[in-house]
Amino acid sequence: MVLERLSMQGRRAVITGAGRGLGRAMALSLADAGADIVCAARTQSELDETAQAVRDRGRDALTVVTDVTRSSQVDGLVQQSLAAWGSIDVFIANAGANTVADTRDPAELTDEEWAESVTLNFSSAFYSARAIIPHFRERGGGNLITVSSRTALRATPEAFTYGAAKAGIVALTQSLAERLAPENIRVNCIVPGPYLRETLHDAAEIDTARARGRALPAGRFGEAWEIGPLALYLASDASSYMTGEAFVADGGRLASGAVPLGWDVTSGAIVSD
Amino acid sequence: MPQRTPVPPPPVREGFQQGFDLDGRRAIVYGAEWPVGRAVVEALREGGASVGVTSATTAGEALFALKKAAAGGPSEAVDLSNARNVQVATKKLKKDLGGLDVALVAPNTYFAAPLAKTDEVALAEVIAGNLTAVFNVFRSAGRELQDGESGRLIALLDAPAVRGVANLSAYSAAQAGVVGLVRSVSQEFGRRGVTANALVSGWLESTPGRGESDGGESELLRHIPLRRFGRADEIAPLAVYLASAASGNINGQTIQIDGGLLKRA
Repeated sequence: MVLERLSMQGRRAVITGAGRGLGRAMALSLADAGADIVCAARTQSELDETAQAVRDRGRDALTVVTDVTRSSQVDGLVQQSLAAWGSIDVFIANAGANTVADTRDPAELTDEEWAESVTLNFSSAFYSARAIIPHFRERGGGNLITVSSRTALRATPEAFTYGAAKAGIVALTQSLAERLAPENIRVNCIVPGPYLRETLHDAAEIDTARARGRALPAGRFGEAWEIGPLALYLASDASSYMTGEAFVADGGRLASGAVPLGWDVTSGAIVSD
Repeated sequence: MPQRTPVPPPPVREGFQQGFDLDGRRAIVYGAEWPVGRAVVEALREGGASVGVTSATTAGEALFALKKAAAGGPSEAVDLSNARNVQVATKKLKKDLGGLDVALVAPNTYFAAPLAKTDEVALAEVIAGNLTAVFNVFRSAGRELQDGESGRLIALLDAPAVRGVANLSAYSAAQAGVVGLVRSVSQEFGRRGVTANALVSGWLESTPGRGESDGGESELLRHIPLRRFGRADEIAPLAVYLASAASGNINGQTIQIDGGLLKRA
């Protein structure tokens, strides 16, 4: 039965950046499919919320406060997960964010600001891979999922350090996938496009953001929860022959770009329909 | 900038299925006589969809295979390179199914020869059997899909769609053409809630050209990171995902499911 290949019953997943946004959506989706989740992020209160939502779904949750820019803390996350549960099937290295570096003039960016962005958005994925690979080898296989960004694949002047770091994630994913495939370890990457930020709480702000989404190819932003089913597909046996893939979920944004958004070549103008 | 009303997102779906299930969805699989097409038909049915099938050509053996794939369900013998044929079959199957949500096409007119020995007749046939076939399906099905109802257009392609292979010039050009088609259709139909995507498989147990001898096969296997050929039933879950309401934000993509093959240098 094809849908049973999506089952995560008896599986355990570690997810970084699980306190909110896309990370929380992935945690809930995997929990819905039967997985127990180790939720990692910097803020305990946000982790508690995700963990509670996982438990509400009848699954086990563990929270580990983790700063993924510190490799020792990522190592600690894996150690604590294994100490509690003995085995991990899936590791989703999701944590990342725009930093102050992207607001700077490139000519004036300091070494520290550059390093902060690249460590958070690129090195953290390597720290995660390095920490979990020995366990995956020991148990004869595993599943590593990284998270990149649309900004990795197209110019994004307002996120130039973030995009560069996230482009590194795609290259890391491809090379690790080829290297680890003979050891039955799959590595794939989720590439999210424009998603509605769930940090917007003001109703008017959300409406304005939603209205801006009308210009996108799908006529809307993605909703955070929509990344959940993609994470589940990649985390489960449903994707058993997929490795090294950068799987884009962006409503068609990366397929666009030859003309301005909303441009109609038959009238030579932007149509507002 | 005029105020625009955004397209509403699909409703949140929780629980194990999360919208992956295809209950109540109606799909046509065009080119169902090929092994991957057949596996996809089975998987879509297992997922809960009502499925109608067509052949890719009207050759005798295709019709025999079509009958097997149909498994008693609605089926039409079709030459996918014939636009009128595709249009009539699409309307007929939509009527049989009570509507249409998903059109999935597996073009597969394979042709291997050096460029110098590929004449215009062969080229025309290969373009017709691959690119024109998908074009015809997307155009006909695109007319029949309901706006705002999670319509899906999906093409099942082969590795030469995205990589060069000596002696496959015509075939890879025709398959690669579909990738361009998918990108533009994704932009044209996105706001209707209709997505267009392509799925590229690597070396499957059923792929032609992998060598008869064990020596040839093992050489090829060493080239595939996962060290094995894919099975048609490993492609099928991705087709189910892309056909489902759970994939609403995936659009204009060419997704590779290949054991890591196409990420190699």
